[in-house]
Amino acid sequence: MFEYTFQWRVVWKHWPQLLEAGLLTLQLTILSIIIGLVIASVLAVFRDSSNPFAKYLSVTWVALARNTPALLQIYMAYFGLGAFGIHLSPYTAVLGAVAFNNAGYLAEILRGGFSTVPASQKFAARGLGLTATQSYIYITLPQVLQAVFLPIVNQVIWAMLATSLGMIIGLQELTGMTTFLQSQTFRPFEFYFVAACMYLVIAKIATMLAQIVAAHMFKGGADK
Amino acid sequence: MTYTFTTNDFLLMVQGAGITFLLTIIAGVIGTFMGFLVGWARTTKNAVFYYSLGAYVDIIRSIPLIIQFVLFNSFMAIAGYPMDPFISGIITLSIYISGYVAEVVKAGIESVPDVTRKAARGLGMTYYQDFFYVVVPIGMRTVFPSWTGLMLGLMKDTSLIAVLGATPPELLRSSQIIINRIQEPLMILLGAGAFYFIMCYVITHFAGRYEKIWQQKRQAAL
Amino acid sequence: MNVNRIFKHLSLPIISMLLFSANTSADKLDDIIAEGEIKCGIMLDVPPVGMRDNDNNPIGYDVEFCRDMATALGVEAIIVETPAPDRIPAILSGRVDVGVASATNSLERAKSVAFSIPYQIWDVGVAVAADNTTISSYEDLKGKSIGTVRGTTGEVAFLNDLEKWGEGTSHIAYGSNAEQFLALSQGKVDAIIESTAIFGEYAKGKGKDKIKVCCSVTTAPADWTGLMVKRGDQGLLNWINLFVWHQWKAGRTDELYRQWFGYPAPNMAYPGIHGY
Repeated sequence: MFEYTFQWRVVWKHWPQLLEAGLLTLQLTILSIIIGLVIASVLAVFRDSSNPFAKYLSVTWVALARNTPALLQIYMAYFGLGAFGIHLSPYTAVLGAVAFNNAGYLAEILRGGFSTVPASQKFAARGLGLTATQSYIYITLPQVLQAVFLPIVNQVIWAMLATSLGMIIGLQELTGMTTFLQSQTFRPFEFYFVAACMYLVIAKIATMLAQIVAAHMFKGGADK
Repeated sequence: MTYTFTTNDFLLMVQGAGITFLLTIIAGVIGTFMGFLVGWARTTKNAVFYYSLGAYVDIIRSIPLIIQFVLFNSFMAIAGYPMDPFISGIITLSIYISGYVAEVVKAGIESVPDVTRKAARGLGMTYYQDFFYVVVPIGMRTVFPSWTGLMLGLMKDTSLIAVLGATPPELLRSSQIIINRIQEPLMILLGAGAFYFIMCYVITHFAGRYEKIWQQKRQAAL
Repeated sequence: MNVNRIFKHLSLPIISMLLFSANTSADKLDDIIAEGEIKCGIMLDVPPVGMRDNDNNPIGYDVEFCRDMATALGVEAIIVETPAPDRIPAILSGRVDVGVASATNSLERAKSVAFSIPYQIWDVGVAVAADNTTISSYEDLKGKSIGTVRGTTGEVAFLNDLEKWGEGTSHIAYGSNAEQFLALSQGKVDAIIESTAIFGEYAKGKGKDKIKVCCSVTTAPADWTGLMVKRGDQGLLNWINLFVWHQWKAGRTDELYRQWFGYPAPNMAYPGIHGY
């Protein structure tokens, strides 16, 4: 059955390059989620806003982010903006596009979370003298984040997967580096296998970080 | 050879959209079936099932689909079972989506209150009767929107099969073929994006309507 | 008596070998002739060596080279599209018999698959926007931003030089030629490195009057490519080597060069040494 001889030494020889690319993937994942969450919390509020422009912006953003392939979004951030003379580096373009995508999905997730916070709390907060913004940031948002912790973790993993598409526009992240190395050595199976394992580890690290952050923010309430 | 967009190219993209749809349906059906079994098995209180299948779900969901395609395809190749990339692509897609469906199914089953299940058993239902007549109808209704979301994601993810060069080409691959000839990547990809957008939108719309009818029926029944 | 016994013991395995091993005979070449078809793994996203015409039929230098090979063998040519990551698995698994994929015959790669003698040589060049006046030699690339296609031989040569040049020069590795060309046309990079034949094909269509080839990559001006077979298929490899030689001798290689690259075939024997 197996006439093939696996050669792992060749992968080991290129390990530093793979590790560097893996760290880039991890970094992009974390940054894109943070930016995405910030935008999403604004979009989620805009969605139920009385201002038609804000509402329209939110609805369009969510529809575009969710209904078009991530590859297209990355392509547009790099070459689409480029057509208008706005030149982002591959890194910025991928970060921006994945954050754009994250924001769209996270906004919907957050909106689902809002239903778990009774309106009476908001009134109570306002009654205690908090402004609308204060009550949103200090009362509503933390509870929503707690309720939607799991879907957010899923989004973290999804963001990591999406960064792999960055290789098309010139980002040397983990998939890009793997593709480069396998084309030099003609050992696709070995390299992609190691890359797959590395993704697994990165996903675990990213999820663990999210859990630590959540534990701090919610005082251990998230993993109830 | 012409270096401009022709009617033929448009037809190729329409055909590509059809293949995308077909891939989504085939992988969606197989993947949902597999995912249902995996998700179900994880809710039975069997520790072996719970952890081994949990690892399965975890692994599938943490590796980019592109890498899964290449890995599966090259693994079968060096193991001595070469496959048509289209077939190996469908298998990879089905396995991939089954990991996500399993989580949704598990959540759906767990969403049914224990009290309800105990009541069903108390009425003399067997485990399987309880499962298929009580848990599945209630639980699956709860997670139907998540499942629709997964299928939409699957439709967009089928585009990554392009990495294997599977023929007939789906939407993204056919776009790439045209791009290679006329070198207009921006325009063609925007067009492909519009196709995806429309297909996703139509499905979302129908799923939403289906859900509404469901809710109305339920309200009428109450 | 003894002989008889030995014969008796041996006869069964021998007979069964003759009967059942027809499909897995010692040499792939026999299989190809017996099956009446040769399966070529070709990359169809690399114009002008492998591409698709208006009706999506495969055409190009590599496609014709495969068809010539089939004609010489008296079998039918089956064109199997193998994108870059699938090239090697396809060969290793026998899904294709021979890789006709313009693959550079590097020693590192030859550890994984076997290469024939060179069947096609690319000129590796630098292209810039047609109105560019600042870059006129390879050395001028210092301090500029350069776009390459990930994993190409031109890129590898450039990366070596980049290391020597030090800081200041930037490099972006794109996924395919389409992105590389778009990046140059949008001014995201000052110059791109690729095979001049690929530039030539681009200049026929979208890139008409937009790009010019300024210079060759001095440290690696030529990219020597070979056909690929599984490492153990020595019999097939021998035949293919002879075929490549005959293809040249008959003037067919030159014909294909003029047809697809627009210039005569270069000398395919490296000066001063036999063989490769």
